[in-house]
Amino acid sequence: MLPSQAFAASGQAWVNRERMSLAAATGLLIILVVYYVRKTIRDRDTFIRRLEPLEYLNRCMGAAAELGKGVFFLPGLAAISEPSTISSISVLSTVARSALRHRVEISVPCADPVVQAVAANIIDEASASMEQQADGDMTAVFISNRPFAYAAGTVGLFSRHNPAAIFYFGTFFAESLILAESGGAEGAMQVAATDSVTQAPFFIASCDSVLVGEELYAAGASLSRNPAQVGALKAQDVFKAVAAGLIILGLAGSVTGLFDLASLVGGN
Amino acid sequence: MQIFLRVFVSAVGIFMLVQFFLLHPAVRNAAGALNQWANIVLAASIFLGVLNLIRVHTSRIAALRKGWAYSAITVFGICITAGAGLFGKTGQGGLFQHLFEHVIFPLEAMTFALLAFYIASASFRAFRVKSLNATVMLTAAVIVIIGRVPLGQLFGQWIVDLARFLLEYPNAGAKRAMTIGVGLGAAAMSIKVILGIERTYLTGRGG
Amino acid sequence: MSFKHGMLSRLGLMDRRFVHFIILAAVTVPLFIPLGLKTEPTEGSRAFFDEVQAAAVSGRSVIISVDFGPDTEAENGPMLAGVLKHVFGAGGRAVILTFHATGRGIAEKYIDTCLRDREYGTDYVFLGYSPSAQNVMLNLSRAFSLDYRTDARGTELNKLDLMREVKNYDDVALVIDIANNAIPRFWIQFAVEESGVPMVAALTGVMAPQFYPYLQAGQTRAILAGMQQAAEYEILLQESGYAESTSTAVAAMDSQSVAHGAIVLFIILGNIGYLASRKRRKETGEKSA
Repeated sequence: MLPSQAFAASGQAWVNRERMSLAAATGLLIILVVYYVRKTIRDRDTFIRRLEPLEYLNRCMGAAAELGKGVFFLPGLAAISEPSTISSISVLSTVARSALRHRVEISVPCADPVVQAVAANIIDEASASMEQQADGDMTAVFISNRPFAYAAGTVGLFSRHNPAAIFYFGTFFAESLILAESGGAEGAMQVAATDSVTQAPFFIASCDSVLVGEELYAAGASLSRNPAQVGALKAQDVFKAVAAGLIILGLAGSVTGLFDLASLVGGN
Repeated sequence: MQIFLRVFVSAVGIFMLVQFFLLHPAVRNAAGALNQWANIVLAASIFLGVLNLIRVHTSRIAALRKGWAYSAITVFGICITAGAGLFGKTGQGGLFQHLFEHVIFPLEAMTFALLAFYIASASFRAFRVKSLNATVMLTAAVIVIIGRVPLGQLFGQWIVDLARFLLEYPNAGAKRAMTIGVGLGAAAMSIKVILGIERTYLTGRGG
Repeated sequence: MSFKHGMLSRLGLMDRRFVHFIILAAVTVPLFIPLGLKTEPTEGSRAFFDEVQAAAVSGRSVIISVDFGPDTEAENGPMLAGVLKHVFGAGGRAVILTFHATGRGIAEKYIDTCLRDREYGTDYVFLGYSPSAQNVMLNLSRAFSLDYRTDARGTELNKLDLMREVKNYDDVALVIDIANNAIPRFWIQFAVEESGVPMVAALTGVMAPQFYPYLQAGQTRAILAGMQQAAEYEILLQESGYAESTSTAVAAMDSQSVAHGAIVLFIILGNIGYLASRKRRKETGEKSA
């Protein structure tokens, strides 16, 4: 009997009922994203607060131009399929344009070949749109997919190229402190944004300005001010507020013993 | 081509999202196949990376640009390892395994060991009583640094218990909050990619 | 007073190479001149020991997932060696596998060292490396054979005595994951939550705080966190007779203690220097005003 026939004969439901609360949450998030994207495109004056590290990033670019030195942009070690890398690439798009505008050399050492190809494409697109050629032979280069080999290669690039500023945007692992401390030893201004919960403390200790957690995902929208991205960011914040409300409600129910929210919404 | 890619990405994304909630074996098998194809493409992409490495470094050697000697070492390493894997024995006793155990292993262990020095210099520079927040962070750090090693027991059991409390409650609470925030942010980012709102990875421009 | 302030201010400007040299000495000297600092087992290591003990004597097998590479072998290696000594010393059996690219070499090294007198195929089986952790962990609830046709040595699973008995998670008493990455989270998500198989994790010190929420939620039964708890585990193994003596983790504790003490000393000196230079700046500022 084919698996499909056996499934039909078993009378099992098509839909996994234990995940229905997750399906409802996903549906809510999609509705919020669509609603706020349309609203922001229509209104175009949606407020999002300033992220101070991104203001510092702009100052770093100006300082690099004055000093006549280049900058490094590290998109993290995760694959292109990871949300953190997609967010990092989104920031690179804006940073590459800024570098070209200031006539600053930008180098992007990558730990994933697909990310390297995408980064090279982004820098080429930025060059074409601004009718300027990106300088240097290290615009986007694959170093290694092993974290410590990547750190060793990148630290070597830091010491040879002596950048004015280094930007860390993405997922990093244990090599984060090696990168940040070596960058600091070269006297570079450093801005970091990572969703790696374990590496954020090391960046905070070694870098000048840091975005932690989901601020990495907000960075692309905050820098570009693209209405669609800003709208999606608003939707994310509203969804977080709903999640926080449910957590407080569940806590209240559990502490008072009046109800068990977890069993009410289903799942484990 | 751009429109085809956007539609294709959205279609696959929606399918992978929906299959998570379905139990039919045909749907689960299709999703499993897509996951395997993704793994195969990722594995093949390493080849792209090696080609990029060889291109960049051989051009630097040919032009004798600054740092060409390091490029020569890199290309030499690639050739030796690739040669050992392609033409030699890859199991126990082979050159490939020997390179792995006696070059890669010690190099990775050594690089990780460097963290001990970097953490010392980072702590020395970063933990200063510049503000109330910084002082609280400094105090918590000192308690945990001392309390998590046998040295802490010389000061008394209280520091060991306090270090454990700091790690298991305030620290775990903060990490839990960050993990929830990151998870929600990642979900929103994924929805943006599936719905085609985030397209920077395709076009270089978002939205 | 200003000379003293000048000297004290300089404390905050110590050359990082001097700091590195002191750390080198702090780590190296106690290896040759042990201080004999005592390590007492704590609640966390005792909980880990008890879970592994219960699984080893239960009559069912355990899964040992070796998910670390040579970079953290100094920290995770003693944990793996301890777990192997414990499980097999208590008469247990194990299916060993890895989802880490360099984990296979590490696993084979420790299998060669620790399981020399065990019978392959009956006491333990090594399934090797698999890249797609999520799929494998989900499929293990149905059958090992869905993702593993042969073991790491090329022998078909149905020719191995142990794998004829261990078909899926129902035949597994405990999953023991020794890791330096996010793979324990996958075990929780795709094995513990989906199939209810119990799990314990032995993690590096950096990763461990991230997993305390899972421990508090009961999704992992115990966590062995860092080299300190690896040393405590070695002491428990020695006290229980599973090891003749303590090993590398305990030996490293003196170095770790002295290095941590040195870091705290540098923090204190750095702050003395910072406060002295702040006072000096204030005095200089007041004088010029």
